[in-house]
Amino acid sequence: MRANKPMLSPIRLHKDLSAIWDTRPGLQRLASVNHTTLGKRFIVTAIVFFAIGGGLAMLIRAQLATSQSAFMEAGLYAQIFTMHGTVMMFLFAIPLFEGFAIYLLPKLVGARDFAFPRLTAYSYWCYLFGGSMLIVGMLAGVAPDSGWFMYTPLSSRTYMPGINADLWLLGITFVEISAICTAVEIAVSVLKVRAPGMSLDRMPIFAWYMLIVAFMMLVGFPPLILGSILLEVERAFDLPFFDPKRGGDPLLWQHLFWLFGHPEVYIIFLPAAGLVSTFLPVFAGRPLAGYIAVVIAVIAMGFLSFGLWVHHMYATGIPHLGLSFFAAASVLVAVPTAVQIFAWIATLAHGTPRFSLPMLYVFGMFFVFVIGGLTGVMLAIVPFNLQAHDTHFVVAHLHYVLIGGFVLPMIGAAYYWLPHITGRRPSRVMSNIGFWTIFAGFNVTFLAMHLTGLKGMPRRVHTYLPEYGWEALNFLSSFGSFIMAIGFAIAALDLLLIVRFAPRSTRNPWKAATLEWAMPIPPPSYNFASLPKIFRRADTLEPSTMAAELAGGMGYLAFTRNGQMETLGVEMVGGNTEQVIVLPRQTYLPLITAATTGVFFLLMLFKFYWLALVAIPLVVICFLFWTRDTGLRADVGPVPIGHGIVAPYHSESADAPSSWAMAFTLVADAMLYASLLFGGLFLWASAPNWPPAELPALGVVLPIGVVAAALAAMASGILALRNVGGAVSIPALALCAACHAIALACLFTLAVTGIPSFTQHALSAVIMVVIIYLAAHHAMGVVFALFGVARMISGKVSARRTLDLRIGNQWHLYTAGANFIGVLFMVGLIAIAGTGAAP
Amino acid sequence: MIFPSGRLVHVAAGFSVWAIIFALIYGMQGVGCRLDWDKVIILDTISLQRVQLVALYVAGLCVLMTIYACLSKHKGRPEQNAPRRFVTAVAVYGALAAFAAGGLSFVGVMWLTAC
Repeated sequence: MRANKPMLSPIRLHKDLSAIWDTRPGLQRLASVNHTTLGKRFIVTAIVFFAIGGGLAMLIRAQLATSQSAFMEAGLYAQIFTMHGTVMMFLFAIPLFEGFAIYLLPKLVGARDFAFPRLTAYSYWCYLFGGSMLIVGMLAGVAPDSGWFMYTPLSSRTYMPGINADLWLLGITFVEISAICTAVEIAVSVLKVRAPGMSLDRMPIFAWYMLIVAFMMLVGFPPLILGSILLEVERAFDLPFFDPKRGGDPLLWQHLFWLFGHPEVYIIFLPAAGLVSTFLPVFAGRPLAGYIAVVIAVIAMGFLSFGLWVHHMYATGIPHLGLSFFAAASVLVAVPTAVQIFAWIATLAHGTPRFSLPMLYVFGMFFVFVIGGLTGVMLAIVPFNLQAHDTHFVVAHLHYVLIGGFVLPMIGAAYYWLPHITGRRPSRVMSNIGFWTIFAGFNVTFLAMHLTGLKGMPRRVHTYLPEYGWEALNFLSSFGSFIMAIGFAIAALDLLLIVRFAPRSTRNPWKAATLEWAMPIPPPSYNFASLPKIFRRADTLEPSTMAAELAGGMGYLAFTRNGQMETLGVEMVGGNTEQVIVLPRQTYLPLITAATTGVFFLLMLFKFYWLALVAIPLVVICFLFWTRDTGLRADVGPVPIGHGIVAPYHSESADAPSSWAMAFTLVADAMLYASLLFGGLFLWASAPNWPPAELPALGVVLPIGVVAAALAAMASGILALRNVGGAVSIPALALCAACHAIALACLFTLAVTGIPSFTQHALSAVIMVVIIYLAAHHAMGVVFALFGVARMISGKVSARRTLDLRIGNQWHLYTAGANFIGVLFMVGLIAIAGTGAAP
Repeated sequence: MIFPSGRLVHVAAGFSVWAIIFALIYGMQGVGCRLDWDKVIILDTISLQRVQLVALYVAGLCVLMTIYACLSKHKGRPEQNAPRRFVTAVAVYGALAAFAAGGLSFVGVMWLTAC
């Protein structure tokens, strides 16, 4: 690194940075926005949920250990297995890897924090509150009981009149908001908030993995959110999306659920694989082999994983041709998976491997995950799948994949980064016992379960007769599961003892070559006293040397300025310094906003629908409060960052992270919209009882009015942006708000006058939801436009500081496009409603 | 504004098109079945449904091959710096993988029962 004369002594610099970045003690901890703190909170909370989910698994195995067991009755058993799957998938697996990503990513890419620390905090609180809703519901005896996939019509109001299903739909949607926020945060931060010089070809491999996973989340989660909204709307207001008597179709739910559900498996696997790809080379003593091949493989997996969802639906009567697409993609996805595994083997083969503790879990992963992958290929083949469908073979397969592909490598990762997180050194003795107990218990449980399934035992049954011949295998599985539980308890105790009593670790105890070790352990709140310049691939660095240089202020931003939290933003591909990102200070706003969001979901749960409508603007108001301390009131121009280099503040940058955050949010939004339109077309193509007796009559004037008003709103927004500082700008934004309001009025009139009762048929219901979707966007368009006016009046917008208006314009542009497509869709669907017949 | 960094979008170009083709072919299969195109014989014993699906399949492969060919032109250009070369290489091999995946994923349109 080029010499940079430190402006402050290292101790002074540390004290100044700590004063700004540290989370305050006591109740002020609730105001923390620091990624290290929040990452640890995610991890610990996920482990607590894992313990709960594991406890439920023990109850399931206790019930199934013997035939005709009286331990649980069928209803309670349904709640227990539903909650086991729900907790493990939504409250443990996703948040655990999110926690690791939140903790590690800024450190790995040489930043002081993520781009949007308050969003991370909001995400955590949404996760905690949503998860807690489900657990409280379970303790109250009203847990969801339709399976973690909530298939209709079982989960419809006719068969599940209580609030059990509502609890799942609303609680999980609440948690999914957290996941979407985290995905936006990760995608933007990986692309924009890195150390200078860290170009894409030098990026740590884990950042590549998480970048792709973040996009998968943005595309994969909205279909489930839409499905949950539609099912909740059907349950609450009787709109018949899934009722075949009124033009709906239960299979629509399965499509929406598995369009999320299968990519979800890869969303869970890839972060764990990314962590392995990060620490396995350390123990091999050489950088990861085939870096570029692994990047391509991960991209390929990201896409192919979206072409598999129907392999959960082979038995639903889909034509052979349709099945072939999904069977082919299911087999194809094994190729990029194998590329990664061969890259790991090649890394080990060409290195000088050390068999340290985390590697024990990696080899456990190799063994278990490869078996799970192979049974996955078996299940991808349609004839075999039809034989094994809904049997315990599938249960065994999915546990081999999820425990082999996620849990074992994550425990390995936990041991690897434990010295970093706690500053303590793991010991081998108890850790080894824990691993072997888990490994033995797991294989006894689930290897036997393959056979139970092949002997015909279906999933989700709470009991079976002795003459079926399943008892010995079930008893073996139950025995193994308790061994496995003891193993997890030993591992948990081991981790606790390490955190509490283990000796202090040296810095960089594994001799790693990645950036997160170029800092004190446990890390300070600001990560790096000064930010590094990266000259080569991020897994070939010398953290020990860099640590001293960076702590001594030899890097960038080796000072504090105006009490601001600052980090650097870079150009995406080349990693050249582009801007100084000013991050928000500690605040209770994320907690308050999440609590307000929670109030909305609780009001929905207890069927106070009108009050819930009031809660929505309250949430928007909370978010508007976030903007009070952002932005500059005057043009500042480029500011020094050290080494004689200057860069503008992000508010003055042409490529600020927040405009990317809006773009990625709109990607998720568009995916939700596309899923809705797909749903409408799917019902037309497949559902019985089409067309309805009475078709909606939209007319000509109102649809044209909606599109025209949306286009005018967009044009006004562009006009305001082009004339910032001129007399036209504020009136143009006011006109933009007025156009959105006009479009809103047109949509309201359309809904009232053009649609016959929306409970009579799925066609009217779908069109109603499209109208509501568009109306919600116009309502937010009014908010964005008026917000722009407020920012201009307060002096936070100028010709150089146009960020707020550009973000608003992204919204106006999207809304105009959505209106155009929406009107075409509604008119087109009504026109074709009477053509053809359901096959 | 969506991709001001230019070539970064290329890394997903091949598989994005693969996904679009997937959605199109699967969607048009449903549409064809709904409209009984499998019963409309237009070429000897070949149905309208088969013809439109095969046409989509072939057109999709052509698009994927075109993307691969276009991206390959950027590969190895001396004016590119290391990050650009890396992105181009990922894009080219990704497009090739997408072409192979496309060829295998949808080949069933040639003979399998469509409805």
